[in-house]
Amino acid sequence: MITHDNWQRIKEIFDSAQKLSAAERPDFLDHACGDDTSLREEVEALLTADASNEDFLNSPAYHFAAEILVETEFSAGQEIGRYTVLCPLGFGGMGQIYLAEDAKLKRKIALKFISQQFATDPQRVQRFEQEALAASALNHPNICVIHELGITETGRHFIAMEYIQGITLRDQLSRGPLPTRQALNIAIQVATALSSAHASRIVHRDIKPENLMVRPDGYVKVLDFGLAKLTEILPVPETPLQASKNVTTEAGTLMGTVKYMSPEQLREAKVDERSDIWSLGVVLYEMLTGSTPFEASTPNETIAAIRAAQPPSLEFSDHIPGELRHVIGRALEKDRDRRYQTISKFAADLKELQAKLQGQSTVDLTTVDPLSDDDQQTRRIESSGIFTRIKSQALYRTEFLLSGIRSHKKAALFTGVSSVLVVLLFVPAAVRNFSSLFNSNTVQSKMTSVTNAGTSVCSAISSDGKWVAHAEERGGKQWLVLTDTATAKSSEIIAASEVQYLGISFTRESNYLYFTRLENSRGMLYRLALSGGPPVKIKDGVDSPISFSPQQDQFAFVRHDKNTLFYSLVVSPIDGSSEQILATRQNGDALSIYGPAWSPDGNLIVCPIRSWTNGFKVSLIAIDVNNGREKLLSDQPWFTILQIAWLDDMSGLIISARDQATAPDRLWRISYPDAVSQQLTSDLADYRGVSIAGRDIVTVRNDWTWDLIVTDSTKDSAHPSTIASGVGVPYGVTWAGSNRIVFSAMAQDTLNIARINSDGSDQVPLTVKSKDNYSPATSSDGRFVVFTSNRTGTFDIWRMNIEDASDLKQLTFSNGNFYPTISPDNEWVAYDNQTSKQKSIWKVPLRGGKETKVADGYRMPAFSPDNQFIAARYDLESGTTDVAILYAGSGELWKKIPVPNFDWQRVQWLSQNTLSYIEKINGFPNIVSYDIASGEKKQLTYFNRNRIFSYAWSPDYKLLACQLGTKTTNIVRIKNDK
Amino acid sequence: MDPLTPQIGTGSSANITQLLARVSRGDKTALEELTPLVYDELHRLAVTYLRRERREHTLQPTALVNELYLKIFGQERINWCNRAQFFGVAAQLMRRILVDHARAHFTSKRGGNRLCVSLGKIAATFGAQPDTDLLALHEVLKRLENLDPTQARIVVLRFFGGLTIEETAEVMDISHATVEREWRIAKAYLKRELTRPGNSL
Repeated sequence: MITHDNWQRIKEIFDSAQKLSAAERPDFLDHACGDDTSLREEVEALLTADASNEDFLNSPAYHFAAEILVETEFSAGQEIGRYTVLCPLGFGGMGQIYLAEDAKLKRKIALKFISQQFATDPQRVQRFEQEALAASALNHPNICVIHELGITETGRHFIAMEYIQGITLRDQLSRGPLPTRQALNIAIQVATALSSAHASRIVHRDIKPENLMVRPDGYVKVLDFGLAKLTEILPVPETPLQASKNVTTEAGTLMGTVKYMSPEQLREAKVDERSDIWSLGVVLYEMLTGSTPFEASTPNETIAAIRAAQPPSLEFSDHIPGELRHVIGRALEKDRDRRYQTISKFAADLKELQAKLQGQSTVDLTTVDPLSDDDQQTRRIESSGIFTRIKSQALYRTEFLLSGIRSHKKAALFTGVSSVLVVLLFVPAAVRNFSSLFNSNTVQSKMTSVTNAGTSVCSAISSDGKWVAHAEERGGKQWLVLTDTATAKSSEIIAASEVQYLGISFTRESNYLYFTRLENSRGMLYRLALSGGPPVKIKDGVDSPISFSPQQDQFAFVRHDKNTLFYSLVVSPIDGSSEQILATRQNGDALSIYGPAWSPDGNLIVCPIRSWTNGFKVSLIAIDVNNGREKLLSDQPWFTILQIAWLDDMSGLIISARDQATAPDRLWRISYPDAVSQQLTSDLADYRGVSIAGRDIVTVRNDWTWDLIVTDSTKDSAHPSTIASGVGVPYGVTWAGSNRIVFSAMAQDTLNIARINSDGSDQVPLTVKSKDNYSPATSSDGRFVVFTSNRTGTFDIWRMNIEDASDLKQLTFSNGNFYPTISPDNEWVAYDNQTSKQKSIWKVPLRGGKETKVADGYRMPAFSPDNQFIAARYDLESGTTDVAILYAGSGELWKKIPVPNFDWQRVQWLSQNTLSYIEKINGFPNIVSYDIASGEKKQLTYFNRNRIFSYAWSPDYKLLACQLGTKTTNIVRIKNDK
Repeated sequence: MDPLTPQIGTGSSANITQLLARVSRGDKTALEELTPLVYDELHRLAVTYLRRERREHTLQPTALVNELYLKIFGQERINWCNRAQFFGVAAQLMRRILVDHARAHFTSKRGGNRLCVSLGKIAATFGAQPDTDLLALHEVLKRLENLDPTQARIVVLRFFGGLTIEETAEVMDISHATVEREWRIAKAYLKRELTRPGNSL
């Protein structure tokens, strides 16, 4: 036994013994310990321990403390109330933030745990809660929504709030100052949020870059309203010494926000709205110059600078306009009585400046165009080469400029149709025809959001503009909501159920709401009295939104027989009692299931149609109500046209449409009768649906963000690494060897191909400024990438070198060629041709040569690993969702595989006997393998995103690269000032 | 509460200051009170530290302590503390935090997978004893504190505080050779105690 008594002795003997060699020790111990066997045992035990002790405790606790603490404060899967922690997001000034899922509402949220140190005073916590909730209740799109304030079983206070994908302004500024316009854009959005809060007498008190989130689309959200209540400095006597001492203690050391504090905030607790104006002024200054105006080496010096009687001269570089300096100067007046007195005035001045800057350049702020590259601020957000970009001027909703209209000169007009099935096929469409970027016809519009939960489906505005009715979706269920546009108050008018809302229409007097919805694939029309009462079923077999006649005694709609693929335009009296068929389409041609539009004079019904005459197109036709005679409105071909609506004065229509396969669904104005088309939106968002009240348009804005992830398919796919991300819709990913990935995504407003290492490093663009380039596929030797491009005006297959984009060669010349893939022996490129109603698979030698047809009736080919077979999709129109396996040589059918035909995905080979495909499982698309011999299926991934845009297996099939998409859909109202 | 009276005592940093003073006077309960207050800061620093370490592989452990103290106690507090107190409290805090953490985790996982509380995954730290865990170390360290307070302090400074032999010598105002000698014996003692049969938790 080691005891106090013998410890000194043990130590001495041990110390002497360990200096000796092993051979010398026994003799020494014999001598030193004598008869005391217990003593000897202890020393020997220590020596034994010592012998293997070199590494023991040699690595300080910090090394693993970090790991342990980081990992386990809250770990993935841990449940906190109804929230399940997914992963840590970051560590803010006030505590840790985690991404979590709300089990009840099936949505992602951010959970912020307030540091213990801030939650010690219940009164402060209460003040914070009151204010946070009050700000959240403002429901302002630039204010982060708080879902819940809670406390864990262990007493940790937390905030469950809206999960915002994006980066803090702090992160963004760490890459340097911003261009003037982008800085203005952000400042205006923050000012708008603050102005809403100030109107309710809520002061933020802690405006700083850490509290401003910038989404990839440029949209800004203000965080942490009310949090300052937890740390606010309580009143102290007005002596400079004491004041600065207190601030240092509290703010300087813990908050680090002294730099953004107003002079009065450093002096006293009672601050008003003008303090936020100061802080925003500091933030704006920092965005422009990269540093704050009162920066000093210690907090105390900073405080002195802020409080100094004379302001230091604001050192701006020359590129900042004088007026902007003046505006910042007014925000940074030390005496708050000389400062801007309201945030709205500050905002107004910023907006005026923005408009001025805009006028100077006369170029569209929201679009990227070949002619205006310099104006486009495409910024890399991650220095590590992440493909994230911010469209700097994409100031949507608050003050969005739908300008720089591209007009299609030739655009005589017409009618066209899209059907759901066609929406994402690649088919040649209108060749872009930008006439004038410097169009004097600029439309100044303002976009505001009506919803911000990101779950909207479709919407309509009442003719007086007072109400917006909209369908929302969550967890596979949809419900109907009525929102008062003046107060933003919403009420659910039809409860959630498993239906799909297709369209909503108000009667002119806003006394009734008509809505169509799919119930078990059957389209039903209902009428709901807004004064109350249950919905009344009016008619079934209504497969599109309806359009009322001007007298509101009839309505028109499209019926779509899913078995015969027969489409009809039907007119019915308002009670649905009878019907008259005005037009029909069949055999692949179709009338739009997004609905017709009855003209304000009552004589015409305009409806989009899809046709295959001289190639695929969607166009607008006008049908005479009296005799059913059809007339093309213009010969402009579209790729898709969704909803359409007449302007009240019949000067034209607003349509939601896509002018070419790879463009987003945008809003266009089609003049009537001369049918000149004018593009109204130009960002990467989809605008799906149109409802008009006077000059206002209500539409569903759909934003896609994507992540390129890499995951080890042999391991847990729940923790993939994201190697690139961006906004818009990406088109294709493939491996080039075992550690390189080639992918296509929107860059500079066109689809471009880039390569990146699978660890996210070394991202290199392979195509630039050559229209759209997508669907990359690589040769097994890693040398070539083949892809679809419309660079010459036709959609054809091209080839280039992966390393440096050299050796560019056009392989096909027949137009309408998509989905290339290279045979394992690198001899052939197979692809499909979609120019005619009958799709077909073709092949051409990789080195170039003759295009040969492989088989009719299929598309999206994929070679088997042994090169003997091609797996392909049947044509979507064929009515079967099976996958065909063809002999690669003869093109004959070997086998049909029954798998669901989800999205526009090709089937892929996972081995000689296994295919993989995408299937929606529990509401989320995931990759499933299919054993060809046994028919056995196995779910391979457990993603929970809205979409798998594309995926690819590494050459050894162990790694999976995947473009995953997250969709946010909100109702927006566009106010047209002109 | 009178809103016009300075509320020195309610602000957390004021608390930290007072607690720190008490800790450096050897007040154990103060340490307990201090721990939750610095926990989040440490947590955040740990993340930063990990990231940086993975990138540069060069960061000295003391840099983390310095950073922690800069953040939590501010520059002026460093002047207020002498260097020995400063590192001493840092090391004690780290020990406290890790032990509390392990304990909380152990409690929540009791009956579950024992590896969850084990530091086995950082086996290198504990040499060839992957099953050794932090709580056990904490217990035997308490025994050592009884037996040989100087050695225990060296262990705390070296292992929990991340100090080098030289730094430890400086802080404790003893010779390098003494630190080296006592450290070696202390390690042997701890190892011996930890590997004693029946000593595992």
